Formats: sequence, C-alpha cells, structure tokens
Amino acid sequence: MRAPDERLRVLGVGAHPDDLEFRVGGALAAYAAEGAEVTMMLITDGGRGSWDVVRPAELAGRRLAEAEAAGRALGAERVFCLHHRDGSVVDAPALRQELCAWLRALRPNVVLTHDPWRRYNVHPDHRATGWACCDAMVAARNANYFPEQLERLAPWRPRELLLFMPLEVNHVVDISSHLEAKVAAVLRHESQLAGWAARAEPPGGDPADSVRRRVRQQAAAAAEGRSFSYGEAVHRVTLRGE
Amino acid sequence: MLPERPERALALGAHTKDVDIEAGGLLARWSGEGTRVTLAVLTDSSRGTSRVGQPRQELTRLRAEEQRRAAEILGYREVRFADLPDGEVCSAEPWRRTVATLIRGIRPQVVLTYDPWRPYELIGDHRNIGLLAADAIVAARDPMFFPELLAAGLEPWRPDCLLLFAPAEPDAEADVTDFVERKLDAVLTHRSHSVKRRLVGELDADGLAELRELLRREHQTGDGRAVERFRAWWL
Repeated sequence: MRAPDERLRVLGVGAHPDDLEFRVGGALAAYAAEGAEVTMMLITDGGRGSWDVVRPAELAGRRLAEAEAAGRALGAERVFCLHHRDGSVVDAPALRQELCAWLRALRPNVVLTHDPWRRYNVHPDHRATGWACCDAMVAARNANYFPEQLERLAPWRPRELLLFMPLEVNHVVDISSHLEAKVAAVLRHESQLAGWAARAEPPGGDPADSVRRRVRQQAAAAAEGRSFSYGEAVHRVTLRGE
Repeated sequence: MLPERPERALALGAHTKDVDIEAGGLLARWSGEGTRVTLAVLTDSSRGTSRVGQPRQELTRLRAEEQRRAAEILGYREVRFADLPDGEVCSAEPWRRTVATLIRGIRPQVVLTYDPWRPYELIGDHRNIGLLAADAIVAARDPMFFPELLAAGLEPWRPDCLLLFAPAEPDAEADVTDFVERKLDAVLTHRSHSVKRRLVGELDADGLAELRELLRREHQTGDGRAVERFRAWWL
C-alpha cells in the first residue's frame, strides 16, 4: 500500500515520441493535475518518423526535444528514451528484461501502453511495445524472473494497466479539463506538422488547426454517451498490485 | 461442433494445472469412454507462484507430483513433462520440435490447447502455446520438416482437430455434468497453484468449499447441466 503522503506513480510506455500524447495525453495530464508523478518512457527516438529522407540522428534529437516539451505541457516529471531503433522494435526476451527492470525501478502504480491485441494494427513497433510491456508486467511481479535484477531492485506489481487504441473499450478517461493540455502537447511535435499537413482538412489548411480539430473530434467521439464532453478510450486491466 | 470422441488425444499445457482446469471435464469423460489421453506439460512450471523464496527446482518437483495425482483422478493414460523454461513458451526451437515429436509419436486425432486469440490473456505462455501447437501440427504432418524425426521412424501425422480451450469465440460445448466434481477434485489437487487468486494449499475447509462452489458455478448452464466450451479448429 502507498503511504498517505506518497504520490501515485504513473508510467506511460510509448513506441515513439507523440504516441502517448495522441492516445493518452489527456489522461496523463489528468493524473499530473491530481498530483501524480508522471513518467513518459519512449522505446524509440522516432528517428525514422518523417516523409522526407533525413538523417535519423538529427531527426531523433529534434523529436526527443519535442517530446520533452510535450511532457512539460502535460505536467509530466520525466520523459526519457530507451533508444531502440525506430521501426525495428522486436518483442524479444531482451526488451522484456529491459522493461521489467524499469518497472521494478520506477515502481509505477498505473502503466499505460499500446494494446497489442488490437487487430489490423499496421505499425510493428506498436505491437511489439504492447507485447513486451505486458510480458514485462508479468515478469516484474515475480521474483523468479530476471533474479539478477533483484540485487538492486525488488519485484513490483502495478495495480492497473491501461491499454490505449484498444481492441475492446471498457473504460473512458474523462479529459474534459485537460483537452487543451493534450492539444498543446501534440502540437509540440513540430517536426511532424509537415506530415500532418499532407492530411490536413481542408487540404492546404493550417495543419495545426487541423490537428486541433482532429484531437477534439476524437475526444468528443470517445465521450459519446457519457456524462462528460471529452474522453480517451482504453481497455483497463485491474491487477492485484499496488 | 465438438469432435467425435477420438481414439487418442494429446492435451498441451504450458504448466501443470492448465489442461485440468480448462478441459479436465471433457478429458475425464473421454478417458472413461476409452480414449487414450496424453497430457504434455511443456514447461517446468517453476516460475508462476505468489510465494517468495521457494526454490524453483522444488516447485517443479512438487507440481509434477500434483499433476500426476490429478491425472490419475481424471483418468489420463500418460503425463509427459518436457521441462522447457517456464515463462518462455514460443514457436522457436526446441519448442516446435518437441511438440511435433509428441504429435508424430502419439498420433492423436485431437490436440487440445489454449486459444491464442483470447483477448487480454496476460500470461504470454498461454497465448503462445496455441500458435506453437498450430505451427507444430504443420511440422508434424509435412515430411520435409525435421527430417531427423522421419529418419528416427516418426512418420508424418495429421490430427483432425485442434480443440482450443479458453476460447475467444466458442463454437463447441462439451457436456461434463457427470464429470465436474471429479474435475474440481483434480483442480484442487494443485495445491502449489493459485486458482482465482487464492493459493489452494493455504485454504482451510471453508475456503476450499467456497472456491469449489465458484468453479462449479462457472460450469453451470440454465438447464442444470455443466459444460466446458471450446473452439474447434478443423485441420
């Protein structure tokens, strides 16, 4: 159990810079506003996330700076990257081991990541991140997994797993008071604006306006039939943990 | 539709207890009617425990004993332990060869294991064993896979049906009304395991009775029968 004065710890695990912001930026902002310690962990640096051919290292540097700015907009305390190669995340024992160590080190009460059960999910990094994170949750709580980590870390079992872009929605987070923070965080990813501009509606319109409208529409659709205006849809798995 | 009672069935569990709790009723029924049921436990079952500090080898030994007792209750003809590492089930070597060898050696008409497509099954071994079984069935039926098996006299074998338990989308129902109590006896023999978040070996008589009633109710239908549900994958 958490001590009464201990803050809730929340960990978002995203494959690339901007994944967490788009999918659960509002939820992360809501946790931060309630006083939680929010950490955003990125598996890759997003070095291939461009429609133009650029130098991945240069793009990566820019995107990580954007992710940090986005984290500040959401009220997150920490944004960091595991520097796997963008587009090449593999759900392998090594990633499970790495994520297990981070879960044991950061001891989050709530973990948010990609739903790997979602079908027709074209991006391999999103699937691999989701699987590795779920497997790491099972490993982190059990002293029989990666016992070499236990010299410095203790087993850790979070109490809740929130899977975003879910196969089955069973919970909608109320982000009505945090929609602006979410939009601001998404728009910090300036390197992506050109790509989004290609899909802007109306064509040739201001890409920032288009993104703002899209985020708002998605949040409104997620909250349909609820008692609040804007939401983010997730699949919530309740665990026995802390 | 449920397959007809086979002459031989091979049930694949990642860990001890898996098959008994998911399909023990049907396998007890088939065993009683003459099917030769082989249970293969693929891992050493040494990791999944809420008890801290128990040596893994001790857990493996204890669980194998529990499984043999449960198999006796249910009437399985044979239990095999592959003792591969718990928590690491996948379709790579040596997993696929192990299962293909079992299929060619036992020649089952029906293979039973977990449905790999069940959503939000957090235990990776339970997701992965279903795909492993499918991949191994292909290797078992096609002679060009694992040629060393053919050289050792293990002819290709094609099962008729992969019967998936804990199904995402059930399409077959087994009536286990007369076997559910025996199944629950077998399940509660696995004292080192947790069932419904309760460590069986730590329950007193009231706790055991309560757990038994919870499990019993999961099998009950509106018309007073007890059933197990499956997805039949015809090959």
